[in-house]
Amino acid sequence: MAERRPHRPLSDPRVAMPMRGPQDRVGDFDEVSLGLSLAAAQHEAERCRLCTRSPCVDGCPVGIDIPRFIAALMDGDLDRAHAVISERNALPAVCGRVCAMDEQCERLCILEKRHDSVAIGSLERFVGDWRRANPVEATAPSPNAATTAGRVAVVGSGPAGLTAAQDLAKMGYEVTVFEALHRPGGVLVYGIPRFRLPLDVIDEEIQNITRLGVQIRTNHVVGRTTSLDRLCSEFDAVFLATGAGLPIFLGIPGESLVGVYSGNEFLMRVNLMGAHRFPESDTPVRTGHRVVVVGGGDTSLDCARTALRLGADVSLLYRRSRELMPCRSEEIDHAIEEGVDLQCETTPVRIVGDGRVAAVECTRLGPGAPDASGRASPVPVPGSEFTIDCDTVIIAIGFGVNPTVSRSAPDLRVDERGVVWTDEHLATSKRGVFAGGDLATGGATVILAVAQGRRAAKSIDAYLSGRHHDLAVSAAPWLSTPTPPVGLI
Amino acid sequence: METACDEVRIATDDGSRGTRGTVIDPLREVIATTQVDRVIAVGPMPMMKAVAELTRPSHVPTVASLNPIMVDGTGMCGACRVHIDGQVRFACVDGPEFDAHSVDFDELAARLGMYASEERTALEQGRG
Repeated sequence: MAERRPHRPLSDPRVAMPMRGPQDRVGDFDEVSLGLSLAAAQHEAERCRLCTRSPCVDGCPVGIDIPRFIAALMDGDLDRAHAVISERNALPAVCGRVCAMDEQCERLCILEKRHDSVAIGSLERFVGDWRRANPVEATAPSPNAATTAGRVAVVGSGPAGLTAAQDLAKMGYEVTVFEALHRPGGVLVYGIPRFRLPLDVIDEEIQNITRLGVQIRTNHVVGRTTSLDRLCSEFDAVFLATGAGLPIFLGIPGESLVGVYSGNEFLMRVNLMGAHRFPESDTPVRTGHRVVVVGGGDTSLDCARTALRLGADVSLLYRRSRELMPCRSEEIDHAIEEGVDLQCETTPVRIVGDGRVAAVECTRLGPGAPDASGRASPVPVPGSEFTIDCDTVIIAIGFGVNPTVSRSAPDLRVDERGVVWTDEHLATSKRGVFAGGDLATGGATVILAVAQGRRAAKSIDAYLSGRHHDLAVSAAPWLSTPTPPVGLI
Repeated sequence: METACDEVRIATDDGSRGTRGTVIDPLREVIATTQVDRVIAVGPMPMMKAVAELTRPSHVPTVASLNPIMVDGTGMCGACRVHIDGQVRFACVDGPEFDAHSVDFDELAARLGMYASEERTALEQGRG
């Protein structure tokens, strides 16, 4: 078959993702990128050489068989393309939108050195969106699996929890997901703005999981509404995937003034509670005329672009150079096109105001001695101080681990940052309890959380079926890479 | 409360039940006449602040159950941050009960008033 598949010449340009213009898109919260047509997706697929070495797969934290799904797409067999991705990733329409492909699969594409890489992310998104438009009925778990099944509780319905829930349901386990908020999705819902990830994309991928029989119970705060011990007595195993939602502040004067938000609070008000529609919605948000956002990761860019859409002028302060911003580079381009004033090598030293924010005092930074991560530690440049008058300050410099579950379970071992200790199989110090995602890594990306959810499902299956010595889970190289300390963006 | 307490004293603004005025008057009387081991204040922020000020000179251990604005109430938004003895704490996960003598009530009051105008708008729409 393969030799009959058409290939584009190497010199053929990469198909560009259609985008709304900056002036148009800042006027609303609708999605910025529009997705490929079938013809465009197949055209792009034909740029792939389907090379046997397939370094792109090594670049994928969950090891999606990228050439095989692209070959299916070339053949027009979208069912198969989706099935290939789903072997490894329950959330293709989500990850096709939010993954940093340019640092992962696409970076290792053999075309990347001399031409542009295949647009793997756009193709994954296309296949995910095709499945959303063409949903399938539930596939019952195989009878063989059902005989060995047990009951598993998953705590948290973000990418790690949803992935584990899907994998375990497919293995025949009865899975209940406990979600603290009033709707499932976790960080996908409260953290990522609708102009990057529309709600129906999340909801439809969650439906693919609930179709497998997974129950999701919202408004359940494990550690408060119910205890971990109670879950342990009611279920055969528990997977903790509550994320790293605890916002970190700078510790500078003025951070408690009215008008200072954490990135999480600002995004939750808009993404989760619809504050941009107030008073139609119950939750308000305030930006005023001028907003200063502090940070350099995806959250800071999401805050800046959200504030623009609420009608404010926005400056984004980052303490290192643009090249070191720990976010998808495409989002920086988008933010600047939309009018965000990016001020790199700059940090706030004090927020001033009489009860309410009036201005931020800043200083420029230059490179100092290398820090623990090997990067030059930014130090203030004397005499470079300046002030930005503003109404709102948003601090989006990173997250700590939410202590709610671990404080309610003293027998759960955590490190000094509150990160839950796990062994190489994601088992915690408490029998039958596993943990993964940002809760156990200290903060990473959606796809790494998906990878952890998959590992946890394999480990829980091994634990429940008594195969303790058969926990061989193939880990992507990423999973053994130490994560930088929380909060050090 | 009567089933759980040896003695209940009630204060109302208009005097329709118990003594007229705030809870501060009966509390002052109790503290002056009785050995009090602990005071617990749960209610509007100005009341809790007044209780804290009343018991501060006599060092009666006093607990306030704080009610700052919260979005999720599970530690994720940081909206409920409050200075306790100069340290930033989140009322939702670190509290909501704190030593009332260590709470920065002025900061709390300012932060509670952040959405006063939006709250009026919502109230006018009958959704307060």
